[in-house]
Amino acid sequence: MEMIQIVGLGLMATVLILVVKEQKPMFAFLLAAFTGLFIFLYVIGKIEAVIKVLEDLANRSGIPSIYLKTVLKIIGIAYIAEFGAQIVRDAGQESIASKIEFAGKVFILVMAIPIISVIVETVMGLLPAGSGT
Amino acid sequence: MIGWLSDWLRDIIAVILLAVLVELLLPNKAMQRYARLVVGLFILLTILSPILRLFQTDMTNRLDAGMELWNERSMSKQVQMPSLEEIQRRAEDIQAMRNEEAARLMAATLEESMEKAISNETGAAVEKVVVTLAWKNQAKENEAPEIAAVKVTLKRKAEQAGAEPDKGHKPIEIEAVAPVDISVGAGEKGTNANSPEPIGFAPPSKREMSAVQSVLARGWGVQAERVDVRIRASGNSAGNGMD
Repeated sequence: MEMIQIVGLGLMATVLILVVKEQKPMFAFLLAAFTGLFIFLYVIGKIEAVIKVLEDLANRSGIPSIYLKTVLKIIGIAYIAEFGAQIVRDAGQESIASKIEFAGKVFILVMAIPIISVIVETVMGLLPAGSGT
Repeated sequence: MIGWLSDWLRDIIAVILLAVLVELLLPNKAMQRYARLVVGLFILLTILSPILRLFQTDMTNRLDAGMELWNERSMSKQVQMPSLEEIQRRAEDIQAMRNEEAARLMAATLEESMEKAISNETGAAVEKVVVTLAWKNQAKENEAPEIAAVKVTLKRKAEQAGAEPDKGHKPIEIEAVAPVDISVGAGEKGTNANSPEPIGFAPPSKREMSAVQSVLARGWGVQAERVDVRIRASGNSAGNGMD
């Protein structure tokens, strides 16, 4: 039923935007942004269940919790960056949207820094010559 | 051996499941490439874990420590805003400075107007008026300060005459006020007023004193005991005037 609600909201917003767009493009954009925000916030609460499953999986299988934390952070960054970029793109600022996505990518890569450093360190430690230097 | 192997396999499977779910959750293709890198590193770590465990045991601990360190560093980088206390303290400093500035301006204005009023109403030549302001209670600095003390320095008439030569008045006025002894009290007053020559003052006559006090009391409501009147002694001033 919730799916129907969301689709209904989306359809209504689309029709309204189409009506308003000719006269006031500004209000059309605001309407689009608000609808997007509403759906995002509505669904972000549902995603909690998925995250619970992930946590459960991690606990049961003995994955280090740091893996899960990092993965969740990556998902969060990706969603927020994507959402912001889409709103900006709706307003017609393609270049700024791509910058927001770029920032999201950079932050995701920064997440990988500790993992990469640990791997490099351990691999260096494995090599007998590497441990000497 | 079998138990260890099954543990290892279970870890790998769990991480791969996690990776699949992450791929599903990620919103678009562009992000997926980057997330895949990180998740791939996780899988690599998990697959390598038995080998790593053979050589060094505390890999996850080091990963934890590295993460914590990185998190702390990024946190400390973000929190650069001054705290509320610091802002308030700075605001108080600025306010105190402003009050001081206002008091100084007020004192200067008062000094100027008092000087004008005294010289207009009593006819005495005023050399300098020093107004000291004070707040009734230090806590409420918002209220206007009151006049704590007024030091009026009068020029001897003789000096005035010397400055703008008027020969008729000169001898009479010197006779009138000159013989006042320069006592210890006069010296004290001089040092209080932090004037360059502390001894060069003489107490005024009763008439001048009361005239000045009444002017100040009428114009500004200054109580008589807060008004300190003195006269620059003739010796110094006259010498200056001659030169």
